[in-house]
Amino acid sequence: MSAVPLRSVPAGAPPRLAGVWLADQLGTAAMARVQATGHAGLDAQLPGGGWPVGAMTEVLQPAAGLHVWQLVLPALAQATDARPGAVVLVAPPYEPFAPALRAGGLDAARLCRVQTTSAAQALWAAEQALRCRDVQAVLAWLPQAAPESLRRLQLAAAQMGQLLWVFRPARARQQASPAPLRLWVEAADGSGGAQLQVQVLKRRGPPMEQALVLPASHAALARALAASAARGEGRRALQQPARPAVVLPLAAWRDRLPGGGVQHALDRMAIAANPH
Amino acid sequence: MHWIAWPLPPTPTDSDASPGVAQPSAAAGPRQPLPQAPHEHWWALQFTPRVARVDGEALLLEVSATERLWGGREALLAQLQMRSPPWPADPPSGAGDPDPSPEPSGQARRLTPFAEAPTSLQALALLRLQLAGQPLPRHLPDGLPLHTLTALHPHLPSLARMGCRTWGALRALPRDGVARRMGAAVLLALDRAYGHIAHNHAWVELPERFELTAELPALATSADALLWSASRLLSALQAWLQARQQGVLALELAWRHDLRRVDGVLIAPWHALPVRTAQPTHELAHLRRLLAENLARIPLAAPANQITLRALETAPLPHASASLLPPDGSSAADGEGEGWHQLVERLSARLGADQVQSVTLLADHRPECMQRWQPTAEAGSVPAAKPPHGEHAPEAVLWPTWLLRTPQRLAMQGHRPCYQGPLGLLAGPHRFDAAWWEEGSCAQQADGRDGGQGSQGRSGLVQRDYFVALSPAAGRVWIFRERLAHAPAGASRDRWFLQGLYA
Repeated sequence: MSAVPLRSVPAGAPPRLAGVWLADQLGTAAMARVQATGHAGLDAQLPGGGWPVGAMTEVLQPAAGLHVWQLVLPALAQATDARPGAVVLVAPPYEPFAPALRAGGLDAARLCRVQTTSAAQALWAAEQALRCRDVQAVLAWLPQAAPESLRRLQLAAAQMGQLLWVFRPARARQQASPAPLRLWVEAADGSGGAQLQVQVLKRRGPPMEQALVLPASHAALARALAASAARGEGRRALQQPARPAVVLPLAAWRDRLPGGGVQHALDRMAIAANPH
Repeated sequence: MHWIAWPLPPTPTDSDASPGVAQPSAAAGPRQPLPQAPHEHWWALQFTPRVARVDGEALLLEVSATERLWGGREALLAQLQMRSPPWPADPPSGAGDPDPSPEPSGQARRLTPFAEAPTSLQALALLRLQLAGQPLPRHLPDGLPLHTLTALHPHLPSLARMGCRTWGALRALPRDGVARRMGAAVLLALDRAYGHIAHNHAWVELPERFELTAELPALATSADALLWSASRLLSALQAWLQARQQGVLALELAWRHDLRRVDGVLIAPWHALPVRTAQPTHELAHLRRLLAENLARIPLAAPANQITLRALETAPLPHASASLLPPDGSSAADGEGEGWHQLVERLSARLGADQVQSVTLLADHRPECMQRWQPTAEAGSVPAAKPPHGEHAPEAVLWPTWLLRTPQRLAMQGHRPCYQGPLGLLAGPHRFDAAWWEEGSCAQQADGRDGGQGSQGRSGLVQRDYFVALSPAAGRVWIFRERLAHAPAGASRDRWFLQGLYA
């Protein structure tokens, strides 16, 4: 008797409705566009499989500026490659190093840095940038921003369909936020700065049980650092006095170069430490 | 030839003369009917270059050559209704409906009455009849009453005594007799009205340079008051630009101070505020916002009683072609929003030009010289669709993404540098030489921070050994140890600097 359903709803999956997702599933961004993050693990955890386009993404961090580019640079590189438009940085904590960003795929000509002297100015500048049709993405550092003003930004981003990241300090974690996606990003414990840990605080989907671990740096840098560490261990084992640099004979390492190898002092050591 | 007679809004003197009841309420709102200045008619020049002003009561527009540009006569008339100055809600002629077109009820703004005819004088005559509320004659143009033709006004009584009341009746009279008794001017006007002789109008012409001066109705003591008055001049500027098909690159708003001296200090009689835009524009909203941002930064030295708006520099503004294809959904926001230049100018106007920066990459090996941030407003670079894909240095992937323009001197703990905790070196060194051709430039930059030890740095060539280090709190950082190339070993302690953050 108990097996008889109350209503004539099919026993299988409930009907799919646009804009409605089940609480144990990730929201499918059928209507909203997304921009792939470039990290497969992160894509799997975000509704729709990427950064939401036309919505605010709030990133909470213990210190301003940490892990920013590692998170957003792959997405920005793809987005700027696909469409024209500027990337506006509002009140960044440091000076962006454009050569390194270009190596990551973000063209320097697209960058625009707006420095402000007060929180109100930063909010105003971010909103103005969002209302511009030639702006593709806005990265705003807004340590002091009321939820109402964040909501203005969210509405502006939704109107013009732009990528918007707002970076805020960790103490804003307990505040309500209009952002549909909130991330908590910090360095992973015990990884020696090699990994960062992303906890999704808010998303269209179930709460995230386990924090996501991403590499904290570019793959090439990670390789060079690992090689350097391996070499350092080898050196300690040999009890050699530290020297500032090891210069190998040119022919000795050139033939060990992988195809299209990176010619850099750090990489040279990588090759020396890991002979093929 | 197709002429449109467009009435000018009645001036206050008209309303005094006419026994209109609700006239003052018609001018409710900020737009007071002021005496008609020449620039009041410039708005019509965007529709056709052939615009004439007649007797201070109407504009005559010849539109046969331009109506196709506006999508036909109907569309042109609709545009005229939209862009013309508002017509008073209750015109002095109370009786009858002077407006031939059916007026939708409940519309806030009343349509301006107008008249169309093959010649200018006929159109004007029809308009006069409409405004007076008189019925239109059955036969055009013969049935038009004589008083609708200005040139006949002195002869109206004598013509009436002759039993001559319409244009047709006057035209039926023998021409030589009319010319003898009333002068050739009457015949000339009649021929012009019938289109037998070309009518040489005094066309409304635009000055070569835009410069308009307006007396303020009241002393302006704040930027807001100035801006309110300037917006009238701005709309005149917009009409001027549209008629000349140009966009303004630089304009200047000047105001005359009412006081010669304030607190005993002599002040200049005029203060001028130049405003520049990167791209020629005639958008009123953008120009007004730019003026507002700039005015907000300038305190008025004294109350102002007169303002002048000048266009300093203009450039031809080509019109964008409309696309034949329907807009696709992906770029739905294309039409909305403002352009890049407008954004940059607005940000620069409020925050200061130095605060809005774009970057130029330079070929240099010193990190702080690899890029130069400069004001975007001066660079004027538009974010390109497809940037030239230049080669980046292969080691660029190993560089940090945040840079400290002035390296930060690190505290030492024994022989270990500290930045938010003792640093552990992960990789390095990577040696950068200083630029011997710019002796001391970089060293001075670095020396400026730690004060006192600068002389040492400048004495010799500085080399830097860069390391990737790990800070317990700040993650991976990019630090360097400064070495003097020719210093004796052990002469001085190593100096460590922080220059980048891996983020």
